[in-house]
Amino acid sequence: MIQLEQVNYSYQKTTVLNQVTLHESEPIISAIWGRNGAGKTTLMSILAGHNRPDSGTVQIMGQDPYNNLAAQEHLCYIQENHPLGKNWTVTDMVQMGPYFHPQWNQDLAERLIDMFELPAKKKIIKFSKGMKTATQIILGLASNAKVTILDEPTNGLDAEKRKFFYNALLESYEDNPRLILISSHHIEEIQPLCESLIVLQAGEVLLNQPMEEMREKGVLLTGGIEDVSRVTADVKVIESSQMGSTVKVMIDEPYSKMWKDIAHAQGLSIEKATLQDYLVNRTRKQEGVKP
Amino acid sequence: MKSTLDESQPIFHQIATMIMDDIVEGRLKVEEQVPSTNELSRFYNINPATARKGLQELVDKGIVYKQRGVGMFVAKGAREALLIERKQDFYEEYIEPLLEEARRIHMNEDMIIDLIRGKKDKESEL
Repeated sequence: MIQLEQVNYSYQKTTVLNQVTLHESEPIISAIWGRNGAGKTTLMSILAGHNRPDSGTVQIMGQDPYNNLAAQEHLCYIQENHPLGKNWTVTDMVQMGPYFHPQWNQDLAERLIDMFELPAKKKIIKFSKGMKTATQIILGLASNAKVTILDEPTNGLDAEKRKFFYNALLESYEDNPRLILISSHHIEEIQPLCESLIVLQAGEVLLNQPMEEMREKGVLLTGGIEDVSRVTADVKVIESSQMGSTVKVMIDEPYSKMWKDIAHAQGLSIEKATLQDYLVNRTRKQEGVKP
Repeated sequence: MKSTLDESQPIFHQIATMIMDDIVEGRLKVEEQVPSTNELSRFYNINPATARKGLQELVDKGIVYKQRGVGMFVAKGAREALLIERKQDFYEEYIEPLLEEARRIHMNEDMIIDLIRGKKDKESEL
């Protein structure tokens, strides 16, 4: 469905994407995570054909998306601050939808407008942040596009509205399985929805793995400094902090029975790190922290 | 079924465990239909593939069986098989940690057995 081969992109002599290769042939929901400046938005805009890579190839449903209407039919890229017509109301947007997206789902669009309680006659430009985000979500989901890209789709939404979105996303995905890429800082919230996780670091794809595996990563061990050092001698320690003679480390290992047994046998306390904390530590610049 | 998932285990495993709990406790009976992939996905806001993996674990164990186009159902003998399995796990999962804590706070086995049987006044024990 999407295929990027060795894509490079620079902006004013700064490398933004470096040899990015990414293949996705299945209609799955996938999360994109990266620190600020890791290249998420650039990657998405290249996928959507808004930007052209300096070198490398991009294919969406077998076609180069850049300046290509045939590829755009399969694409819906919802930017963080999506440009919508200045004088548009949601009613206008819903009427224009099928024009841009041949697979447009009118029924879903109308139901979501009701659910998010968006006023039909007010101009979108006058909407609050949360209402704008809801409008963008409606456009993204109702597009039914084969490749749907949502950049920070929950910005400004309260907890209830985020839940609406997660439900609508899953429902719409079940009705029409397609590739949905979601970038979000709320990784803990969206991780159960996603089948895989793409991690970007400094313009490169650091990881692209099944979410089930990723959410097992990151083990926190706490105990006496000597015990912890001995147990972690052969593994990668990605965070370490000390309080008196007690040390707490995060290791780049799965939260497995093996580690629980080891911790147990050595009298260390063991916990699963959150995915967010794990990713933050995993993408830290200097590697090889020692306890 | 519990209402939320936690971080302790893979999600698909939690899904499988919850359905097994329902079978063991008799909330799901033999030949009764178990929740579908989509129902689980909606209810817990999880990816359908994850829900499917949880159900597949039960199919692989022979706890539920698939009826094409209809759904999944609790297999004959599922409850008995699960009871045997759980009894086997009982020592490791419950007795071992209990004994460990008992050692830590200087309780011997007799004291534990008395506690279980409710023989002694718990207040005076402390």
